[in-house]
Amino acid sequence: MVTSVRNLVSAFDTWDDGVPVAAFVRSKFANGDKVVLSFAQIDGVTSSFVNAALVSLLDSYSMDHIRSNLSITHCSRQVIDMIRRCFSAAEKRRTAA
Amino acid sequence: MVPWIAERLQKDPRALVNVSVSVRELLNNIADHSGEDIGCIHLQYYPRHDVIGIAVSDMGMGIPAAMRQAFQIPNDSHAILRATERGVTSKKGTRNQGVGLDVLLNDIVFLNGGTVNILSNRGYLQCFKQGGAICRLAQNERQEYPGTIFEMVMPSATLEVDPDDEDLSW
Repeated sequence: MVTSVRNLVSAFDTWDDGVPVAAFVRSKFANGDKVVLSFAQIDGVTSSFVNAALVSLLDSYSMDHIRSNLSITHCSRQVIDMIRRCFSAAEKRRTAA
Repeated sequence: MVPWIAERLQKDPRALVNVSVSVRELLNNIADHSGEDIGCIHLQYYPRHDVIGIAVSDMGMGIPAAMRQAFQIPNDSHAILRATERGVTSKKGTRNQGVGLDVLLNDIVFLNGGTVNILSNRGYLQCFKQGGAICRLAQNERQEYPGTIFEMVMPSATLEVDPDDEDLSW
């Protein structure tokens, strides 16, 4: 089942905006469910939003688990680039730590 | 802000995504790093050159002061230069990954062909595209600016609508 991010939050700017998205994904992961998030009609997101909504999942789950259980669809190029950059930066910091 | 710019440039508002996100990133930086919760935005359209100028400023501690909380920094211009590097942030934790300014420079300078100038404390950084890459010129100023100003100038011609129907492949 596809969940629209616009149905979870109404703004995509700040860390606080992204927290409910991560909470939703965590609740699904806790049940052993896979998650499909749609970013349809979301033109752009900030790095703070992505860090809260998605990257924060790394505090509880491995990157492999996220890749295997989280799909992201209907994205603009800006959204895809931002998600990739934020995860790349987070993985590098965790590797360096 | 976006409707005003879209009307001046006669563009679909969706073509201004990178501009909008860049301003939102800077406002987040003010909230996260400046020690203040007030920022100012100035917009100007230059019809003869068909470019849009946006300045975002705050009167907070400044990028050099914030960076010195985490790094050994020889001078203010070096601090600003370092702050624009991917993965560099003065904060720890998941909340700040040091991505925002790197993305801003990529979008405004590399993709859009615009310029970004940053003035903070005694540091001044100019960023522009040259030879297919982002060129950064850093210099130290005699006068100190008590806070930070980001100035972005973008040509209208390169602002285009980005379709939203791709899937992220990990």
